[in-house]
Amino acid sequence: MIEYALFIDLMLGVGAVITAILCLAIRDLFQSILVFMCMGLLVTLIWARLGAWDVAIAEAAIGAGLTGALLLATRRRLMQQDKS
Amino acid sequence: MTVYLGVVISILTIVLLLGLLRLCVGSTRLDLISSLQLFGTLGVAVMILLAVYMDQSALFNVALVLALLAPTTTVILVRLGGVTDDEH
Repeated sequence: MIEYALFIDLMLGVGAVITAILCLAIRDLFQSILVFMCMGLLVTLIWARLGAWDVAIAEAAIGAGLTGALLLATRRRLMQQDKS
Repeated sequence: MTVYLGVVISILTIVLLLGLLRLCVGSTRLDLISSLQLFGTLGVAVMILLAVYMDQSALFNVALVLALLAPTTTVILVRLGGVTDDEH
């Protein structure tokens, strides 16, 4: 009963820390942005486990979706600047 | 029933971390986008099961927002990510 809850929390926490490290370690920008989005999803699950459902909604909408889209647009603009 | 839900959520979380392994080992961009879709689907599934497991019906709304966000993210990735046809 309580062991499963502890196992789920442990897995989510370790996964979030690993994704945060990978996000800084990966050289390719596109892959790094995708890993950042996955970190947003894991943090959303962690907020849900903590019982803060409104923070989880805000994290899912802003942290994973909007920030990822903005980062992708920025990356494309940087590549266009490099070409010109 | 609670033990059963705990086992199922644990298995889905392990699958989520295995999908993370696919994401960090370098592959083509289409593989990366597919693995992000896997993450979105698994997130929705874990969120719905957590809503039953923790007896907190507000988490269904979070699952709804996640399910709304995952296809939008894919569309944005394909439009802005510069995925070309020569990367099969």
